[in-house]
This record gives sequence, C-alpha cells and structure tokens, in this order.
Amino acid sequence: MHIEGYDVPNTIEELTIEQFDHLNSLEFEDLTSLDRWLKKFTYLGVPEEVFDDFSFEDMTAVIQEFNEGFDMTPDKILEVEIEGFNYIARESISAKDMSLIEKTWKGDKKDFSAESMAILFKREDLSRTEHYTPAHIKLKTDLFKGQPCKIAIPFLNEILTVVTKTTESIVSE
Amino acid sequence: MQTFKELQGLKDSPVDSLAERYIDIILLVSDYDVEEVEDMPLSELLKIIKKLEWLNTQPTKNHVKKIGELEFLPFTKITWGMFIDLEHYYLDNYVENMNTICGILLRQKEVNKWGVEEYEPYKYDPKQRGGIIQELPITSVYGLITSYLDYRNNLINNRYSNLFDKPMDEEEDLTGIDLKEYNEAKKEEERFSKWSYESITLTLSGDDVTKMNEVFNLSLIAVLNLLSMKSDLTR
Repeated sequence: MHIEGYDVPNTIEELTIEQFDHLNSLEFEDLTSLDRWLKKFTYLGVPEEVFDDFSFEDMTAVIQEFNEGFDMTPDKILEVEIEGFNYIARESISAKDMSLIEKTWKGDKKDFSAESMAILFKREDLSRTEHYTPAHIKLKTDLFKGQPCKIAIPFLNEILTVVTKTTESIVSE
Repeated sequence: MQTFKELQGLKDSPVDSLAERYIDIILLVSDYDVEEVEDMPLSELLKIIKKLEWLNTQPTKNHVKKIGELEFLPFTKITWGMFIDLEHYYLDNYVENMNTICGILLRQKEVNKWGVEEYEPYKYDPKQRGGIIQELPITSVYGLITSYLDYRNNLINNRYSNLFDKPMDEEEDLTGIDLKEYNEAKKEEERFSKWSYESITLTLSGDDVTKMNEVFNLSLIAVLNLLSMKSDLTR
C-alpha cells in the first residue's frame, strides 16, 4: 500500500518477521490507539509530518487499508532456505520446542516471532544438541528476522491456541 | 512414596513453562526417555497429561496396617516424646518427612508372658526405619499420615485447645510503633514455641533434667490431661 507516495509493506509477503515483531511490541506500550498507529506507520517508513494534515477519516481509511492487506490464515510453510542452508520445521510443535517458546514469551517479547521460528526450524545438517545451543538459536533468530512474516503466522496462531488451552487447564487444576 | 514426594515438589515449585512441567511430570511417573517425551508432538503430550489428571487427586485415606513384621502403632499409644518428634517433622514439611513420620509409628509387636500385646519401645532411628516405606506405593501409607493429622488436629483444636495457643494473626496494615510492637510480640511467640515442649517437659519432671526421659515416655493423653489439670487448678 502507499501513504502519500510512500511505500508501506502491509501484506504477509512484504512484512518481515522483524517488522511484524516490532509492530506487535507496540501493542504492549501504553499508547492511545491513534498514537500506536502513528508509530507503526512511521516505523514502516512514512515520515511523521505526513500525518499532520490527516483528518480522523483519513487516518481510519489508511488503518483499514493496512488491515485488509494482512492475511492471518496463510498455509504453513515447513521448509525454508536461508543463505544456502535448508531449515525444516515439523508439522506439529514438539513439547521441548513449546517449553522454549513459553520461556521466550515470558522474557523479552521484542523478538518473539523470530526467536520462535529459530526454535521451530532446524537445520537439516545439524544434530539435536547443536540445534538447541543458545548461540545457534541466537544466530538463527537474526536470520529469521529478515524472512517474510507469512512463515511465522501459522505457527504463532498454533502457539497462541496452545498457550490459551494450557492456561485454561492450569487455572482449572 | 518417593515419586509422590517428587511430584509434590514439582507442583510446589515455580514454573517457567507449563510444557516443561508436563515433560517433568511424565518423566517422573513413566518409563519414557527424555528425548522421546521432548520430541513428542505437544498435542500428544497434552493427551497424556489429561490421562494423568488423577495425579491431582489426594491418595486414598485407607492405609495398610502392617508392613512385613512391623505394625503401625495405634495413635492412643503415642507417647509425649513421640508426639514432640511428630510435631517437629509435621511442622517442618510433612510431605517431605512422610517416611520419618511413618518410621516413628512403625513398630514390632509381641505378646508378653502375661499374654498382653506389647509394642517395641521408641528406641530406634525413625529415619532409618522410614526408609523401608520409601519404595511402597503412596496409596498404602498416605492414609496413615492424614489420619494422624486428623487425630493431632482434633487434640490441638478441640479436646485440648485450652493448652495450645492459636498462632498470632498476620497483620498487614500496621506501621510505625504498632508494627514494631507486633514484630516483637511475634518474635517472642516464635522463641517461646520453639522451646515450649522442652520447657513443659522440664516443668513436668520437676526441673530435674535426669527425669525428662520418664516424662517423654508417658502417654501423650496422660500428659495432656495432666497439663489440663494443672491449668484448671492454677486458674
């Protein structure tokens, strides 16, 4: 999409996982809804002064256009090639992966999607032990930041469902 | 019993990740190996946990009366000395000390020359004796622990409540001088309760340390009756 001549990535193919994580992190900041959207658009490359002459209606229209481009139900991608290496994810999230993802969620949520993908996608040529070393996960987190967020969304939907279910079960325990 | 204690320990520990706790629970109660559970799809892990929901229920209140040649002592035969030890292990952490508590109550029994059944005196190491129940299923002894607790609570809270002070209530809104006074009173209470049983024993033995063992061997009920009588007479 475009705002006053500026390109704004708003589809799951255009937005990177890093951008997606940043936009999500703004949800945890104490901002009004309009201020949050202003921050989102300026982060995505539109200068703040562009919005100086925007009416409330103009703002609502660009927010609506942004949301319409965003598909939250893409197909799951289980294989990704980055810098010449193949990374494979399993169809279903394993118990260990989920336990690491939960810990990431409880920590700094800044790179949550990128780090979750780094946990779920495993390089074919590496052993199980190598895959789970913190240094390797950190390296992969940086690699996945540059990938389109369509890779992360189906997994994030699943993680959210599981977290909700397990939270319900612990509450009823 | 060991598994039950470890399970309780897990439940009481803070949790960083629910999935990790579930993995630990399954590893504790099953023969799966670590990688097998960790690599399990989460949906399968949750199915197993669902099947283990019974772990959240209290074990049965029934318990065995004998383990090999040893029998559990009827509570009416508990002595003052045994009661002090039981209180110590109960207040410290009764789940962790469950086998020692059982060890205090597990006795040999024989019929003496008068044809009367007699229990082995309390002159052994209860921790060592408690070791024999470590491998028993929790369901065989848990009921004994809860039955003893019911018996003990009935003595302290009902039958002899006049002898046992209720602990001071927690005060949250105190400040300044009130808080200082409260803290001093609380400290005094803790200091007194730490030594109260020994102090009572010394009083009952007429301040003669060499006679304290005799008092320890008196029946618990006899000592509580004696203390009630003294309390009534001095009122």
